[in-house]
Amino acid sequence: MTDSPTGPNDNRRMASDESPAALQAALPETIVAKLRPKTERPAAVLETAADPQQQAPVEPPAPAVSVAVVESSTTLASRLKATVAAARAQGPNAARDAGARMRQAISKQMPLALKTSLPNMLTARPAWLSLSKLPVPQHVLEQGRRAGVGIGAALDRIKRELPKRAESVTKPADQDITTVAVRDAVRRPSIFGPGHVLTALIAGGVIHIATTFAITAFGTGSAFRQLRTVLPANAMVVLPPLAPGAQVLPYLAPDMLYALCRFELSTGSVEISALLPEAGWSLALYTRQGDNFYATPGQNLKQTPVSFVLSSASDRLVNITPGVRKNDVEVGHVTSPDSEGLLVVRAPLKGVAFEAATQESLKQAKCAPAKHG
Amino acid sequence: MLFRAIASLINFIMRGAVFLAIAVLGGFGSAWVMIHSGSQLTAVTSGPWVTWTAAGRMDADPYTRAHTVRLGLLPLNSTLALTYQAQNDADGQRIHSSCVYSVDLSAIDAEWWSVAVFDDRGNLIRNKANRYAFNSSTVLRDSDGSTRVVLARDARPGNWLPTGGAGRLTLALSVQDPKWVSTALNSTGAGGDAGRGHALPVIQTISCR
Repeated sequence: MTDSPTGPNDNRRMASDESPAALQAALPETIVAKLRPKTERPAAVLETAADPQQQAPVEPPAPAVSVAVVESSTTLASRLKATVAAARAQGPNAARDAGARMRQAISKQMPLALKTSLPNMLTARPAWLSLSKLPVPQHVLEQGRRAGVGIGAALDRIKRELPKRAESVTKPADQDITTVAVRDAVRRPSIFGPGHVLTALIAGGVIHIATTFAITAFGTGSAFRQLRTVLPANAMVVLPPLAPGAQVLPYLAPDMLYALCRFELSTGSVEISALLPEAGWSLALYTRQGDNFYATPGQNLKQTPVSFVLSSASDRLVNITPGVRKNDVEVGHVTSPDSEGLLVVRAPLKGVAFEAATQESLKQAKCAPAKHG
Repeated sequence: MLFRAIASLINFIMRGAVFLAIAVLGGFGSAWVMIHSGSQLTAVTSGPWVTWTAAGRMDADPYTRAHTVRLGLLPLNSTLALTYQAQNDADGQRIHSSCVYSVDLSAIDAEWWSVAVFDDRGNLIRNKANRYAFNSSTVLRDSDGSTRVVLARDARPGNWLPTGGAGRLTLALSVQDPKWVSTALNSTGAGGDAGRGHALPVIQTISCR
């Protein structure tokens, strides 16, 4: 950061006081040689540049220090931008590598006066790139003071040789492509940009949906999977009263008695019957996923007989389910969406005294392969 | 070169960590919350009571079906019966076996209901009285018609449900009455207050150890 009183306007004023001889003395021969255009007109250029106001009709007015740097870095930055763009496609840290390569190029091309300042600028934080605050190397200032010339004149000389590759000399520093390009180049690639967040959110959504459906399809904790190995196919089993350690499923109401049947329809239809003597009783059919596709509740002060033939959807579709007659009355049909499932008859326990009677009532429930008649 | 390789590795790991945090944890976590606890889309709440409105139905949403499968439930179709669960008292504190609770069931006017206490995994709590639930047939009513069940570790007069040393508790209220259920669901709808149609039991903490 420069604390020198030599600002852009001061530079211009000081440049107007310079003589060509003084400027040549201020700049080492190496710089002068580099500033010398390939078409070989060094002396004239140096003379006109040393006193730009006097040579106004011939030479453009000397710009401020910042403009000179902008121009010099504009050309470099455009190359830098292209290099960085290519490098970014190769990996997250390639931009920094590209920056390093460009700094090497800069150090080879730039005059000595800027050798230290521009690389520093390129490696600085973006806030540093405010061109009005560009650091001017102390040794350049000292050279200028010793020679009695301003730094503006020296940099104008540099500027005059570089505009052949410059894109603009009039763009404000804060809008110049240089600022943007260099800022982009030196900015470290963010660890997780908006694109990555969006990708992660989409992936999270996919995982969310897949998890939800996978639990339903493959969940090992389903009631059917837990009871499949315990219950025989197409036979009613009356469970003893639930007790700690003797629960077949979690959260089953313990003040109920249960009769369970695992129906298997791949071998044929199943005949189901039960008597629901009062409210609280129920007969329910479940798919493997626990969907209750049929239910009949008991009613107050009224017995509810239930009797039907359970068939698979495929059998019903091709109408091969034989008619079932009971007491010369054809019973109803219920179609199961699954070829396997569970039948649950629930009987509320009114108390210990009613336990035996309730169990007897439950034992009358039937679940057996259908007899065709 | 080594430094750059390490930096690249760290960068890769950090990206992976952030990706995992958002995608995997976010995906699984949100699914777990939706399946385990439900949301306004799938469940209705009234104070501490929560019920899944589409439980047991063939047209149930995927979260309700996953909830049913994961817990190994066999719910009756929610047009016939509803099962409410409560894990907190009226003040929002977790129900625990170290406390004594009073559950006022006076307002339940369904044909048949049952209230049972489980540990937080759905297991019955072992007790010498072999008592795990009360229902509309077994509960004792006061002379004024009110009905209260007391949850406590030690014996209490009246309708005492032993909680032993089970720790965190879950209270389950099953109501089987199509008319009652219809009123409850039609007056609430998903995301509403399940208590608008019917008053649900109030769980009050009496004391804690």
